[in-house]
Amino acid sequence: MKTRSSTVRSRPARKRGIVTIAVAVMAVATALVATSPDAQPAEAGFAANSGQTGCNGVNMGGYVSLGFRYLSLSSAMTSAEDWSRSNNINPTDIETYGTSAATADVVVRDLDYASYCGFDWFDTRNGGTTGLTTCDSVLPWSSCGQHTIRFSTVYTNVATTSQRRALACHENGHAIGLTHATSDTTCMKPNVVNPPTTFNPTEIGWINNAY
Amino acid sequence: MPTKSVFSVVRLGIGAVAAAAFLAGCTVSVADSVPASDSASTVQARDYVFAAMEQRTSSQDGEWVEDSLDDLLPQQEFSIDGAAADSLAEGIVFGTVTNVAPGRGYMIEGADAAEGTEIPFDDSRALWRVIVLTVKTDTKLGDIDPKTIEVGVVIDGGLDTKAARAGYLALGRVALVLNEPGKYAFDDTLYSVRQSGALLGVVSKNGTISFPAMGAESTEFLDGLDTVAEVVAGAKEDTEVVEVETNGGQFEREGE
Repeated sequence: MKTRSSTVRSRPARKRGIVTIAVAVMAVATALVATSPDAQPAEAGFAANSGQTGCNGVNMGGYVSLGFRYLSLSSAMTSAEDWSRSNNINPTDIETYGTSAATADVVVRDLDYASYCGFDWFDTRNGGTTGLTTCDSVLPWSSCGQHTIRFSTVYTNVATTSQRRALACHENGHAIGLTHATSDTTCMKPNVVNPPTTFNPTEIGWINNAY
Repeated sequence: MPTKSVFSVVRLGIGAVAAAAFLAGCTVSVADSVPASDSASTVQARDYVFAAMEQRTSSQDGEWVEDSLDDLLPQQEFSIDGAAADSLAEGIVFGTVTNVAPGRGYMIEGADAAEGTEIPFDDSRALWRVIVLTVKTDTKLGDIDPKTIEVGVVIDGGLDTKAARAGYLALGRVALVLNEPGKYAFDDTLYSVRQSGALLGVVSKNGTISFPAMGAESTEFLDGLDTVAEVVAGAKEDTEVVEVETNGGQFEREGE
């Protein structure tokens, strides 16, 4: 039975000598078995290990313990992200922690994006994309090695606290494998003005089964 | 305990199955509407584009002034924060894709950027690309005059461009909600598709519209304007002006 570890999972380190490398490889393999997500079949609402990358990003995170790195993130979205990690993700079988490592599992940033990935980003007269989650690299088992979440500052600068939390919930959901929902009971329904700030019980069940 | 290599192989296999299942799941609702008379290769080409279209919008969230297709009809005008009333879209057209040509590729320089740097279409560094669809229209609503128009469509950099070309040519009759030209610097005469390309729909033989990029949300967005005939009839209704106030991150309609 998989147990939830409170320690940050180790990553391969550079070592000298074949024996040392072999030992390190075995240690990494052991760590991966102990902490990487269980593969679950994709279903409507959950992407599992999709292997998606590039401007797509709906893919499971690689581990049950995910490091979040905030880069050039506004204070408003730092608060929203912190809130979402504490209230949306950490209560599930996934735990998150803050990190400054370049190898973070999830990078979060914001900017006044105009055409990143070819999307029509939010403007105050027309609307548009408010957040995007992409997968930048794929692990050997098709989970995502590193997601990047991007928020539009044009939107987050005018949004309410609740809207910012809902947006963080939505994009964090993508970073752990949730896809869009049609139900009004979850932050994963897209293009909603005032969505809930939580996942629904069905989604939490998928997460806990997969990680 | 398995070795890392065995573990990885098992993971790869499971991942591939899961990815295939995910792709299959993406296309079920739209593939169901594909006429049985189309060849297997046509259906396969179309499904490739349907899956790509849905994946493209599946990892982003947004908020738009319009709630449904009805809001984008040409006689439906919006006054936002007291500005002069105007329709949200340049127009809606129905027609057939007669040609697919390469446009440009785009890359991001450095760690991040608000917009992409234009590069040649075939450049392997492209994070996304724009292809140019030539559409021969059969029905036009709004401010669109030419019978044949060119539309820029974004595809992800990882997409097989030959398969994408085949897929767009196999779409059959399409429905396009268009923004005014000017989005693409390399050709400012190109129209673009509203909602980041999500409002490129397909029309079945019986005239039913669906928007593959929207997945299960397509039905809710259509909100009763399910066929070409219903859209055309809706566009003939009297002009209606909707007053909208922007309040924080919301578009609030008067009276709501």
